Amino acid sequence: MSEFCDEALAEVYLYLDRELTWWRRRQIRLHLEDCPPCLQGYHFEERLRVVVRQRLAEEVPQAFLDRLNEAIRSEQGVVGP
Amino acid sequence: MPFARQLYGAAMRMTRNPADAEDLVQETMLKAYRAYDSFTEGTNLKAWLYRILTNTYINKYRKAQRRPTETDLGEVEDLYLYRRMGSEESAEMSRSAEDQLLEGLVESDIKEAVEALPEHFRMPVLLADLEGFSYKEIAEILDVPIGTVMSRLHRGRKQLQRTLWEFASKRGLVPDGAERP
Repeated sequence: MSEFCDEALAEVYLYLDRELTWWRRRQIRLHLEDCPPCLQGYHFEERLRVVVRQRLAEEVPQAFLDRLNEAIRSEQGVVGP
Repeated sequence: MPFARQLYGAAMRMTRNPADAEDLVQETMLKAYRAYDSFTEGTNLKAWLYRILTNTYINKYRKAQRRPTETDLGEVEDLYLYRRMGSEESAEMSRSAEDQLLEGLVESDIKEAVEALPEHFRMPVLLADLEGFSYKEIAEILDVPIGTVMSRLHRGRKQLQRTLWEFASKRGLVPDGAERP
């Protein structure tokens, strides 16, 4: 652990969200290369995010898509070209 | 209809039921068709659609919703789940405990945990973590300053992790020696 660990961990979301400047991103990346505990924390957050996204996926009912298509088609009949 | 499919996932987590989610997506798509003239070519179509989705939800469905309560997050630190998984002997979570947690949190856990977030946290979390929008895009969609997006997203993710920790603990996914909720 180094003095930079707290800083690096505080910015895990900014890093994963790709919202850091390239310079800051590089500083963090270099720290992670040298700091297995921080790297593990970053990996965990990254994996958790993938899991959350995958398990929030919804199967859209085909019947609904058909109804929606129909609604859009009749809408186009009213205002469309 | 790629956009309708995408909008449906967010709509389900906003309204919490399929019938309202379908209505919300349909209304969004029809509004988008009618207002297409007001969409500026070359700007972000996906963000524009999510803005219509969000506004429609807020105006129409929000009043009828039960409001989840905001938990006091004063004590919740960053990397909440990760830090909880460490046992007293080893501060770092073992890879197998990590796998067990991530595999054991089932779809309904994740969905319930997201739905339990108060709306001002749930929206930015959905837009960032499900849809992959940038902070700037989320600020535009929700019509709030970017700093507000960042703090709500941060607090929303913490609260989400705390709820997931409770579920994990109930399911016995927490390693021996780890701190319980």
